[in-house]
Amino acid sequence: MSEHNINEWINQSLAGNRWAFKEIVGLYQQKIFSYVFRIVCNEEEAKDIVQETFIRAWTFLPKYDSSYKFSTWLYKIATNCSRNYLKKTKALALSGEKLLTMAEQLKSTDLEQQIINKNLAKIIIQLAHNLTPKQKLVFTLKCLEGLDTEDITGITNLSAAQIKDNLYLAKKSIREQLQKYIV
Amino acid sequence: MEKDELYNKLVSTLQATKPSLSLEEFDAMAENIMKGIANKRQKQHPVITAIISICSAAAILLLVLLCTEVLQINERQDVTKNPYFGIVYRKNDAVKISSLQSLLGYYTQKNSDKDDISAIVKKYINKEKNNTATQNSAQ
Repeated sequence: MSEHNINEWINQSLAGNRWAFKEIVGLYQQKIFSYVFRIVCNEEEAKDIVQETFIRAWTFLPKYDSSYKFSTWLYKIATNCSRNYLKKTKALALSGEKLLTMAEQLKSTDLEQQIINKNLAKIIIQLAHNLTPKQKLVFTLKCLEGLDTEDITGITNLSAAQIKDNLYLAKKSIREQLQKYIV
Repeated sequence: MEKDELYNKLVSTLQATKPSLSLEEFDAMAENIMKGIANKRQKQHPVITAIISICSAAAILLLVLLCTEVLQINERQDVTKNPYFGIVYRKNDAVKISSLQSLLGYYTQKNSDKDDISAIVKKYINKEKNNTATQNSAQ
């Protein structure tokens, strides 16, 4: 989708055109769901947060600064909406073997998406067990969503140095977590 | 080394696998969002919001002033008019004033009235004395 179309939809939405906003929802909801799910690790919660994200986006659209990418702005709203869930990561006791089996299952296209989502959630919860909310956020945005540092700065309000530190600590913590399965 | 391999394998799998929903579920979600925004008003631009706030505050202030004025008019219906005291008036023995200037005027007038009365009293007493003296001398 071209940048021109998105800007056009944003302008029309600003003029109160809900159908233009529906196009924006259709374009970004999958991406935002994927991100939110990786944060909250729960399908139902993720659905609610995605809905809240887009409703907030509609409400605060006049405040959107077009010098930033629209997707970055949406990520920021989604991050704020899921902030409460960042703090309650439940630890599951999974064996290393089980973890790998579940990761292998993710590649299979025959499985239902729900099972994939469940396995993904379990793996992320297990890996992010010892991470602080900031570390989890930075790890998800950088390593899983593939965003660059500049975008992450805009979303999290963390400096580049803070992002680097949090990412280093997150990777270290995950590796240590994995070490338990190897020994 | 084994640890790094495991880490890389897991992270690359997680990157490649996007959590998702069925098309129907995404459609339902979009419908819910549209329902959610149906009665939701967009926040105005900060400048417009500020202008609206100022206008609202001014309207409230105007209303308060209007109410005060109406109450004052009601209060003044019971005023005992006094040509000497001008706009200063009495109600239930309490002096009501609309300005300090009026209060000063009131007391100036009051004192001058007192002076006039005492002058009349003196004049009357003197007149009485004169009458008594005239009567005595006639006798």
